[in-house]
Amino acid sequence: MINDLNSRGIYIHIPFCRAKCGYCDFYSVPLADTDWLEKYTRGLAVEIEQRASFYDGKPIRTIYLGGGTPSLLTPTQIEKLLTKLDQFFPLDSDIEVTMEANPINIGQHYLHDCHQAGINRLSLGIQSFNDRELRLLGRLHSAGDSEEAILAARAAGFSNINLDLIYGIPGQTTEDWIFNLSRAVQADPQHLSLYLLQLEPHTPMGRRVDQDQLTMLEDEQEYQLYQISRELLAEKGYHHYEISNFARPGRECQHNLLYWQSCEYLGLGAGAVSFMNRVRYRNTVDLGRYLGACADYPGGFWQGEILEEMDERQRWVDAVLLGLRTTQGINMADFQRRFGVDLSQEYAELLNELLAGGFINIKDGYLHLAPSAYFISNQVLYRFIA
Amino acid sequence: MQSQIRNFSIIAHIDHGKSTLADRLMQFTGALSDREMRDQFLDKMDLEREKGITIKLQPVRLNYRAADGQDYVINLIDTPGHVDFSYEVSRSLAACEGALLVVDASQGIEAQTLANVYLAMDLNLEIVGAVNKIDLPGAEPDKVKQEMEDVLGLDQNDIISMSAKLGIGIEEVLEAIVKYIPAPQGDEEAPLQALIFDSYFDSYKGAICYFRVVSGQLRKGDIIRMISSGKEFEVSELGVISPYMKEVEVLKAGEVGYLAAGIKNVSDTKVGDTITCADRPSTEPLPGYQEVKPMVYCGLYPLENNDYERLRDALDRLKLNDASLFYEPETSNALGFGFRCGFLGLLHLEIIKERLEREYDLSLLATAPSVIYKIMLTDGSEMNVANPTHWPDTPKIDQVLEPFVKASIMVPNDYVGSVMELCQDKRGVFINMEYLSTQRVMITYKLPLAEILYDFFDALKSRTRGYASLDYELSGYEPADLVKLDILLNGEVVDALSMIVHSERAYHRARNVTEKLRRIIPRQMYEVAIQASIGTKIIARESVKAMRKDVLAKCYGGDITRKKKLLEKQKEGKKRMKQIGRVEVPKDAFLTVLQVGDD
Repeated sequence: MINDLNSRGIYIHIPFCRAKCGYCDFYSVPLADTDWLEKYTRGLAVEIEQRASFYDGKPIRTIYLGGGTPSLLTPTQIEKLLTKLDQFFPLDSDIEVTMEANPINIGQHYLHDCHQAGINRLSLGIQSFNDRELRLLGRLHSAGDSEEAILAARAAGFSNINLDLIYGIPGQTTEDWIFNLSRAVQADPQHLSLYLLQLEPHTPMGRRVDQDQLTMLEDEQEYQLYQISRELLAEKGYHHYEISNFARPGRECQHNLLYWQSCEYLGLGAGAVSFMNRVRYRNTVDLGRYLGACADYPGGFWQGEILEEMDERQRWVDAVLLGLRTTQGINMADFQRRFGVDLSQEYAELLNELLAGGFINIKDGYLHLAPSAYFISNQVLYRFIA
Repeated sequence: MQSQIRNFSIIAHIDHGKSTLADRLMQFTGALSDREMRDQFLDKMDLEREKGITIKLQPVRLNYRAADGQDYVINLIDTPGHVDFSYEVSRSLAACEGALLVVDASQGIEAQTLANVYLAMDLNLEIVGAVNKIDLPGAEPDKVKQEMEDVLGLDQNDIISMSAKLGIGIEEVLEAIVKYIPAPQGDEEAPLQALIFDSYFDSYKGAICYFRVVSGQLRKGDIIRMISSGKEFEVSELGVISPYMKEVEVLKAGEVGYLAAGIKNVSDTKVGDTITCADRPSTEPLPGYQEVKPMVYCGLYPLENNDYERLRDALDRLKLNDASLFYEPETSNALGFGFRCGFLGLLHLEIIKERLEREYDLSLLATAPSVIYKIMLTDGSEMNVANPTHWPDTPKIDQVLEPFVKASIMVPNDYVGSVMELCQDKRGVFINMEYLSTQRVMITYKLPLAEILYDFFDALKSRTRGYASLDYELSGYEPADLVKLDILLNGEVVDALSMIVHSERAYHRARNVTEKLRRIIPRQMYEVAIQASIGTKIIARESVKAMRKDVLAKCYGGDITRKKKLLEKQKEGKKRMKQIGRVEVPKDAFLTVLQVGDD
């Protein structure tokens, strides 16, 4: 857990991909010309300087390069960004620096140089160890590429590795999933993120489902896959610490914990979201406008949009909704100190109802979801909205 | 001069062109200029105009110079075209000397129309026949005229062919009214007797009555007395409708008009009541007055509990305009505070509910319609039950009586078997079958009113491709083997879902309703047990399995706002649900459940 809730994270969005995956709903553009990476890195450097000029000096606990595909950046570009951040922001000495990577075109040398540049946690988008499933998802890599990438990462010096896996893929059987999970566990990563495939209707896969060309699994099957994952990973010594996340004890992803503990964060890059002073704000998603804004320094970034401006109540409700995603839950005494709200009073009736139904537990001052409620957590969470 | 007055009603089935005909008559006689004309001018409610059905037109006075060169005053008094309002039909007819029967040239006579014609004949009204919509492709005017002759004894040579839409035959209609319908013959010097055939509430003038002076005369400023209640009022406004309200000084025997007298409540101006003058009263009321009693009851509950007072206000206001609406407060364990409301029939119920929702912006939950059962208790006493919740425990019941109707169904002979099967299914007892022509048959059944309430009419229409028409009248109470069927959610009786059913149908109905509820109630966090019971005995059971999946797989910095919106949406969705114990039930469940027939 994050001890200092005042500390912050920095998220850097790299909105380029070689090709868009069929299920992806994040902002990314196909990379036509590698020149763009250089331009974009220069833009980011400008934004870092600009943001720093009105930063309040609170410590930065984590950096996360997400995408898109951050592993399209060269080690030099990565180093340039991290150096810039170090120069302008108060980074903790033991800062966690994560980079997402696709298991393709990342050899041992590349990863070694990234590690040297300051990346100390690698998140690999494996998704599946089954080539049929990978093709269905529209991934460019094969299961073999994944195996190689994991070996290379370790050889390059990474000792904090996450693997992303997707379950609930059309046609996936229980055996298929156990196979994927077992392969992942054999690789002995420090962290595993298991995501249920949830398609937005406007994604290519979402459209195929709408047109009945693809059939999603039944709720019951998805639930079974989730249960199997929890059991299998517990047996292998992974700590289930958030609805979709598992880690070796002490290797929980600090950056994501910042989100779920409702800490503030800075989002840099096109389409990146920041959360500061009860406001969620998104930088412009238009790459041209973003780079233009960087060139027009200073002042240009603020042509993004405010996603949400919260009042005091909304602010702490937000913290409840996020906090309950973690299996440890919410420390109610800390919560009261932080927001001045006594949850046991504020939600007395609801908590009683949920306790009686066995959907939550309150133990040692922590309010948390009962494990049986993880997979129907929305049913619990929405009740906390005023 | 009474000899120059003609008072007539239009008898027509819904959709047979009554409103359009009235429009044409007004245009032809110059009551309205073309500029003032808008379709269905006399339809009073937006709801009527929108649904394209006319429950009842406003009365209107037309001035007509006939072919004989003389000027006539022709009063059109409408009859409601729906079985719910048959008492009002009889009072409108009683205010006339003749009736214009309008039959659709492709549809032929319908059961309701026939019933009203017989009513008119009983009142010795002269009947003028007309076949409308002769311009339409499917029109068979000669066949329909033949049918009118066979069934009603009209001379088919006297029946007018017309198309109200195209204005064909309008003059013939007016001429026939002048020629065949007798002039009124009331004694202008006798004490006042005026028949109220309609009334409505005006927020400035109070209750406005429409009436026909039968004898004597009425002047502005007169003190009038309502014979049924003895209440007296001073006439502040007297007039005729042509088709705008126009004040007059006096209305004499034979004339039709309206009055306002500072009457605060339409229940003081009951349809069928007799108005007389206080200083020289008639001792005799006109014949045929009845207190109108609701036939159908249901519970109306606001979806939002704090709308209860608004619902009360809205009902109070509607009641001002509709003396036949009945309501009293009731409470339901499941639904909270609401009202038990009584209606003349299902259409009346539907209209009131829709007006409450539309004009008063209320979101309502209606429970199953119920009839009034008479229950003889073992202790010798008797009780009336309009709400299944009040049904006594079985050991206390000696006998149950339920209301029956005599239903007349008119149908092409191809569908006789199918209609009889339906009636049999609905516990009907066959009375009679009569061929009206070689193709059309009138089938008469005795049926429990309660069976007609659910989906009888829909079932009838669908089995006969829409060709059947139905009329019914209450025929009295008879013993029946009825039981109360309770519905339980997670072991708790939901009082608002209780229903009275015939004991032989109870199992079937129980399975049907529980099955339907299983489909309507969405999966929730808990398994929901749905049971049906008679007394303590469970006779059907279903369950809604607990929800398995409702999770946001990913929730990270960039996307939290959007994910939160999804949760907020879920929160909103909950508002369309009624929480009963731990179970969330969609609000339309209450009615949908009852729309299951026995099929």
